[in-house]
Amino acid sequence: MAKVEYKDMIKFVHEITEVHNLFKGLSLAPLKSFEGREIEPLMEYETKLASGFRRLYHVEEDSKIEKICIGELHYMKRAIYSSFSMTPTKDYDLPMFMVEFDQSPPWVSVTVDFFPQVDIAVYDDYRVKYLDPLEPLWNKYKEIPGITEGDRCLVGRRFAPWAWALTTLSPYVIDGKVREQEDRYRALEAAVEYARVWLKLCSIAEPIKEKAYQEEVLVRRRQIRQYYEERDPGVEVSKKIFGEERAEMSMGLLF
Amino acid sequence: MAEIVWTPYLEKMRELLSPLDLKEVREIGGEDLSPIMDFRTPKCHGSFKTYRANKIEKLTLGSLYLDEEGHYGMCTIWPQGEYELPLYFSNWEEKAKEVLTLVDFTPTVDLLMNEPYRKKYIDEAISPLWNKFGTLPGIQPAPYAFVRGMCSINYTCAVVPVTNEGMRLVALQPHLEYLKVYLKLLKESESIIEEKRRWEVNRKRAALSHNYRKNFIPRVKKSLGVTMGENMANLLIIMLF
Repeated sequence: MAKVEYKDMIKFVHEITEVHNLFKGLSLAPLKSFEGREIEPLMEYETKLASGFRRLYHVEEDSKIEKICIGELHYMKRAIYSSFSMTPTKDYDLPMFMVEFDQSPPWVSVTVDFFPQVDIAVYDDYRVKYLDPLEPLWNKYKEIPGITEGDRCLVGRRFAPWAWALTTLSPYVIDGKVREQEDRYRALEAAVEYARVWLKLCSIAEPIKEKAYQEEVLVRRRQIRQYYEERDPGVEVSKKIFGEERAEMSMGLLF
Repeated sequence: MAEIVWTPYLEKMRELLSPLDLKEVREIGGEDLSPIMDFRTPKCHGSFKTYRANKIEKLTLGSLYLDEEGHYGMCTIWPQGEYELPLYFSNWEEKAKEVLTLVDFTPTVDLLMNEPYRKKYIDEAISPLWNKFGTLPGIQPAPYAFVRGMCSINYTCAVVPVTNEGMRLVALQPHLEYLKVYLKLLKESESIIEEKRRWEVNRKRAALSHNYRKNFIPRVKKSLGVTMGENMANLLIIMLF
């Protein structure tokens, strides 16, 4: 199996924003702070170990999208860790769109998903409305080698060591380790296609009407965020690069 | 072609359940269960029974044979409402060349929000089995999204290719191993004291029952409904969920 050298790795943000032109038609405005925290130091950085950037946007005249966060971290000219999220405002129960695309020479560790904001075993209609539109894409992209190998489908198993993380995933998660360059591009395509579905779902999302339901959504969302801020193994790497406080803030921006 | 010797799903499951003092249930919600307790149609035959037992509100177990085409087995265990224990859920679909095998401890709380529950009933109870059976040939996500959405994070599902006859018993192992653990947990379980927790568990149990029925009934209409009759297929879903 071919290893992919750093120079040939996918420039994730360029691909999403320029090649696939994903945000065409959206009036993106940069955010400089979020929930009272200055995020300037994370926007563009260069340390001994890494360089990178992160863009945080809100969408002008849009009450549904809270923020879009996208970035790349280049680690010692050996690896590129990219992340991309889109989250709804507190008045909407849209799932949280999440992508992790971590490239190293042997493989890209990829997760693409819509994190549900409610327990879908209780709220079955939520699954039908917000998650089932992913079914054709899931069936298409779960066959990428590394997501499925031979007869053995690995969907969901990359997260296996972290049970808390498994609880955040939807039934349509694309998750695995993809090796070949061609397949890496297909995994990127999966991220783009999932994102397009999410943006389309924004148009049918209605504001939450019931206070109790909204509270349930917000509590669950806080829990998801807390899990990743405190436990994601990536935070440890970020701490070495940015220091403790900025590392947690960096993870928090995604959720 | 040699006649297929179907896997003794029912017998093996019964063997494990034998220490329970099972009391047969003859009706659910006014529905008479006797037609499904022993049935034969031109296309299939089988038997499904529902029981009650100490700490168990409803235990349904049975199997169905589609002549030479297939053998289906199902088992669900619903603890009584005052116990927080997950549901035991087992689905077996055996054909000449492959077996679809699915087994789970379906949580009765939101696993994301209730970490102690997750640790006790999933991480410590079935995660070792999930890892053990993670290399079963044909391991894959459950085919229906609504099932994946209701199952725990450690359900085992595979479409096991029958490359030799021994593979049938290999495919049965997860059902038996999960059941052994379940019965141990059942024995140890104590009723919920906290009112808030009881409300949470009962809300989810009601949702699971409602949503499993809602999603399965239209699907079995097109599958089991054709062979065993629509009314009987509906009855089966009501017994199971």
